[in-house]
Amino acid sequence: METFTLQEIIIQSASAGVACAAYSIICNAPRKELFYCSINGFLGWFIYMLIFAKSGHSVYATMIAAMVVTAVARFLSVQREAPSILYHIPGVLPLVPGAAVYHAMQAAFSGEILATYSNALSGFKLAGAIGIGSLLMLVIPYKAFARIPPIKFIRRKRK
Amino acid sequence: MDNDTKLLNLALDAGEIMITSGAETHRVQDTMMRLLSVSGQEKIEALALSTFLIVSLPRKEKGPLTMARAVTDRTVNFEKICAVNSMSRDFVSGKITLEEAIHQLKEIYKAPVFTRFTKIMAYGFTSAGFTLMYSGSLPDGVAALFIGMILGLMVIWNSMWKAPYFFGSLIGGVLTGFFAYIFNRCIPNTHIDMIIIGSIMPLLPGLTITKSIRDILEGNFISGNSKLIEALLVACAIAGGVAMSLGFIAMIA
Repeated sequence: METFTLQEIIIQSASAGVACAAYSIICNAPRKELFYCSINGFLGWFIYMLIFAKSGHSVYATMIAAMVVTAVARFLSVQREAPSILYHIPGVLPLVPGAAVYHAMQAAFSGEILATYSNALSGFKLAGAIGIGSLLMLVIPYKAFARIPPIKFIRRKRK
Repeated sequence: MDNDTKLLNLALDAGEIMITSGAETHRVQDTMMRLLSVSGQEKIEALALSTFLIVSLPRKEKGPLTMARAVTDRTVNFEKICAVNSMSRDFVSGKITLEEAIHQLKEIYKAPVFTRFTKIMAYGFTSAGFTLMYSGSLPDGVAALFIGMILGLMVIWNSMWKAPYFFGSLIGGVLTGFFAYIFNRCIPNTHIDMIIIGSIMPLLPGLTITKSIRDILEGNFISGNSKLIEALLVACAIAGGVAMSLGFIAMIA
């Protein structure tokens, strides 16, 4: 198991935040929301890395990170009066199992059947963990988030 | 056109913009339902599938009215989703009239997007950021920045001549594998797997997978399943593209 220092984790999360802001530009997110998209991306990878560095369970880490990201996305969507998918997508993006897809492809290419299956399976497990984590937060009714009092710095200013 | 036809057209236009911009099916149905509820009739119906929209008004005196529309384009544009969302709220709460709503939709349809240069830079920074996130070294990040910009150029070029849907993913994979090998050879201290993993991130269907999970959870099995298959095929196309170029290089070198 690799070990990570807190400094490394923060640097990695910051680059995840930059990447998520850039991805939001690809998706044509409104300019004022870019900052919140990048915050959500930062948070997703930060929580994943914290749990992964402590326990070494990537599936649990992904699930809990997905839960936090979905909750924050729904909170922001109530506060900023925008669709929650706008914050959900950049937040979940760092958790998408791109590495597993690549390793499975590489193993298939070099003819290692066992490694192909194990990498593809771990990719499916991670994708499922994102789904379950999101589900656990999506079943909370909208009213629970609407009841949170408005926060001055986040709340969008009305014209 | 009478008012009912106009209302149905408004709902269909709003739904079309939202589906094309990449909104979840649930939200599209919800918005169309809300727009139609202004007519004050009972048992109105709004159905959205991943490429198809149906709206229906059961008018008692004049006979029922149903319209359908097929949606072919698929892009991602969050700004349009937000704009249609706030327009529908204003319309339902009575702040704007039907004519004004139709006019606003036309404005939204032509809403400005980021310039091409900004988008190409954004592709570059997405790739570089994810490479650094997967604990790649700084030279890896620089290589991924250039590969991401190449991918951005490719995506924009593809959208100009309306390339077939999976073609972009396949060619993106091929380009990533090829340039990652070249950068790995030219720049010292680089890892080819880090560069490739980070660079394919903007092409990977993270958005489609998330949307399909949300659709399935909300009971829209048809669109959820079709999006899931789409995501799997795109991921396979990217991986196949990378494998193709790396295999070709291994054959020559």
